Amino acid sequence: MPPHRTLPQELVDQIIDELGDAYRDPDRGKRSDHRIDACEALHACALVSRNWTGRSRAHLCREVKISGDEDCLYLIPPQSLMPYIEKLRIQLRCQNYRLFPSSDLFSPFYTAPIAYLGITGGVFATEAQACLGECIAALSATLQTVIFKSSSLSLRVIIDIVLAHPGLKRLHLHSCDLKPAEGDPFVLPRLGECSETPILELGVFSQPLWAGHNLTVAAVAQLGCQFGRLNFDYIYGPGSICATNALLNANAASFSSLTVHIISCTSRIVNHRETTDFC
Amino acid sequence: MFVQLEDKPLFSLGGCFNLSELTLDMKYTSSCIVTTSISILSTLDPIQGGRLEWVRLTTSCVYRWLCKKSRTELAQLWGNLDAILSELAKVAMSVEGKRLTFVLVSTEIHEKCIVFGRKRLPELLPRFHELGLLRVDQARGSLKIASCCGGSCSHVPICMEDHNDPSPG
Repeated sequence: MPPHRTLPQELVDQIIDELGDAYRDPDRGKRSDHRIDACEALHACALVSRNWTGRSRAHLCREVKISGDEDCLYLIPPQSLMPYIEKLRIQLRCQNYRLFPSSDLFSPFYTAPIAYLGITGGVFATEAQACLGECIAALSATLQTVIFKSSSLSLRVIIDIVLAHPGLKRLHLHSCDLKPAEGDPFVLPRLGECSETPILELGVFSQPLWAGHNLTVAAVAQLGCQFGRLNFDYIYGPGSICATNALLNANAASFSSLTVHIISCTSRIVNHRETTDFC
Repeated sequence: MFVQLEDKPLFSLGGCFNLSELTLDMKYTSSCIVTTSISILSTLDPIQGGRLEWVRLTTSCVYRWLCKKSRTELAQLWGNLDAILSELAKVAMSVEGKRLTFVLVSTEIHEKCIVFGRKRLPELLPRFHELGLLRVDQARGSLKIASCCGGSCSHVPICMEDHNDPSPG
């Protein structure tokens, strides 16, 4: 009779649990690098066989921390690991400017290299309107792509951006509620002659682009005239999905290209509201 | 000319059958914390999330989300959060008999935060309020709002606690 080469599953689980305890509690062992050893051992165990994988993952993925800027919300963890997560921490940090320190952003020392290095794109996330004006003045005319992440961006700022950058080919407004100032008509100046079709990308986080801001069909049509292409990220706006779609479709002819991204959880929320209303 | 509709999936808690603690730390973000929380929490199936015991939302701008919008906007913002948390709390109690605690932590010390928190929360979380499940407390100048439910406990209180204590329970 051949020797039994497989350990009983109960023993395998017990061995892995020992490693898991050491992984969670580094003081349990005498050595300071005990936790690192246990972590490596658990990783190795997870690759031994299917019988070892589940238990090892349960210890490795018990606590998961995801950190980064708001884009990390689009991170999709592997579904196979989700059942093992018991504690999940999501840490969102706003990055002011991805190229240079925010405190020195507008000094000549930092703005000059933009043209020198041939940098053609920038990402900004700031709530300060005053800084935006300085920023627009400081940006190089060679800048072709501007991405703003701000919840307080006004239409006047957009107009200034377009005026200051005749060569602008891509303007991305992320997580913005577009707010026209008092008596400020929604008028965008024409862009300069561009070899490519300029693109306007709008990431509207909490409200539909025009909800409550008196942005009309004509305004949307004008957006189409100015930019040609519109990428519209629509994340959440209860009860207004149909209105948004109708408005976009009514102006479809204004755009050479129109892409609407609808975050999947939106419909779920609306359904949830309907359900709770009936209750 | 074409119109294209695409699904762009946000971070999803789907499949997290064993999730017991969820912490959303959004101290310095510009996005709406309430909407982001709803977006994430709504991906959690209430039945699957029956083991959830803690939902912790940390932010530095509670005052902003409590007070700076109109009454209608606030009702829209918080209404869904109210509904989702109520649902999760009910399921956690009925399925697992577990106590679900929701904590909203403000890292800013702002007197208006506390005053408006007391005043507005019954309006913003009407389900808790109507069921008599709402409690607002204050601790050491920092606003913390917690709601808990489960076991033999028949109410969902809202309270505040010290934000320097990161450990749940």
